[in-house]
Amino acid sequence: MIELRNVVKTFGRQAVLTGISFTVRTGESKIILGVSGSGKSTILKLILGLGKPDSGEILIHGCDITKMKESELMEVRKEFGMIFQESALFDSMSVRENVGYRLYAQPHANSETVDAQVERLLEFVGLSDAIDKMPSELSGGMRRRVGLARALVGDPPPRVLLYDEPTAGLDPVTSHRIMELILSLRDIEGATGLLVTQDLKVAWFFANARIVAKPDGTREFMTVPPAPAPDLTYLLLSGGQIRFEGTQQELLTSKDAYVRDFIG
Amino acid sequence: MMNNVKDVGDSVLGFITEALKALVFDVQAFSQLSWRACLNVFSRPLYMRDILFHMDRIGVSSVFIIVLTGFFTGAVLGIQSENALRRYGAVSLTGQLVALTLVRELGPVLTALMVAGRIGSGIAAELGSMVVTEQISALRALGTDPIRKLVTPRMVATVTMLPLLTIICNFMGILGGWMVAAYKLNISSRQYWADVINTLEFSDVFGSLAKPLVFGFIISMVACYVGLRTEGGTEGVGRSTTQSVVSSSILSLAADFFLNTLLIHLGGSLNL
Repeated sequence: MIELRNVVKTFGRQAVLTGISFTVRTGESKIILGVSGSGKSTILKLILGLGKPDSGEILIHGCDITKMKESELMEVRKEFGMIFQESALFDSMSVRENVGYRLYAQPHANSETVDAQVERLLEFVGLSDAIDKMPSELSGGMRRRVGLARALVGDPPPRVLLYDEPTAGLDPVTSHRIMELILSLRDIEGATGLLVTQDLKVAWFFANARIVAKPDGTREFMTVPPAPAPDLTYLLLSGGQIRFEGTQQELLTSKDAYVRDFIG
Repeated sequence: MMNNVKDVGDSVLGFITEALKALVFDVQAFSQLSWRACLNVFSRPLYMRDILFHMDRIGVSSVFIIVLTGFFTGAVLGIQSENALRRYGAVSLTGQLVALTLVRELGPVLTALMVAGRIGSGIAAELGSMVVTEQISALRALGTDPIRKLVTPRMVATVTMLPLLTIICNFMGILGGWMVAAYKLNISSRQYWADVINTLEFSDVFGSLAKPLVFGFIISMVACYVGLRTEGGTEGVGRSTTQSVVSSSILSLAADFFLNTLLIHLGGSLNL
């Protein structure tokens, strides 16, 4: 479980977060909405311990990570996988090395086992053929998918996935492909997910589409399910604070002028 | 009028205070980074593959420019020494002058400046790009300490390779001096090389190898520090690159002054 308590974060003289509190339960999905610069990505980085808040607490399974040393944070991070906005692939490494980085870096890594996991994940994101390519040889969408595969590697695999604008700057077809993969992780693998986006289409898609595993092993994609995914809530940031937190129904019926303006 | 003067005074004072605060912060952060980079040498994982890779990139790839720098500097020293030494009828001492100037001073300093320009800028640009493309954040998210993975190997490689490059620079400089001495000043090769060998003492060679260790540390750590603190996208990477070269060059020259003082003092104390 992730819990933020009254988190404040400033960059220079600019206050980005001014007292943020919310909770993400295991298995829950949360969509964090907000305009550019509202602090959405900052929240994800603070949860991963990539920065420290000026004040407030961030609890992961009840332990406050803001007081942890970098070496202790390394252990906490094993439970998380993060998909960065621009993929953040390591330029000097091949796709294989990028995806398997977390496992290859372990002291007694068995390269055959790691290779097998890397190949399985690249097959999952549909990039088996790109295994020996360098990041510079990949398109934006392919880089994003490699980033997704890299976030899923671990022993055991991460159970909480943080998506930072996973489809930003991609064409609709590629965006759809990425979102299908993210839905698979939520609906079939049961991963906890925090999706940061300013694109309402992406948010609606994440909330209202489903992937169902069929008995023959194939997966069925449904775009018009009867109701939003269970355990899914929205959070809208504005002016460094949470302007709205609640379900899709509550979002759509909110009387708050800013919320109504944001969702159009 | 008095209010205006007071306002200007307050502004200047505020500016100076902020600048001093920034300087203190930079010194503190730089010291912390350096300390952690050094401590990492004595614990695992050491990333030997990365160290060897950077030794190749910093050392082997710089040999050509160091050969040219050393050779032409030595040749110019030979030509210039003729002017100075002829007045005293001491042109035959060209070998001594070239060897002492190069080994004591120009070899280590020129090698450091060339490496600061070529390697320091490269390190700052590389790490700066990794910062702005979030690769550093990704490394940490995947459980790797960026200082251990990126800074320590570059520091070890630069500190190891700079003395070797200095030896090459010194040798090529003396060779350049010999070319001028033998073919322009008509000094016999036997006399030139005998002068070179007899003039150089242990303290000269020791200083010539000790200085690059310090310069290598300064160049690599400044480049890593500046690179890791890059802000402002690709424009910031450009700024970091320039700052790295300027800062590491000036710091190396300043360190050279203090090292010379220290070495002279040590030489006197130990009777080297």
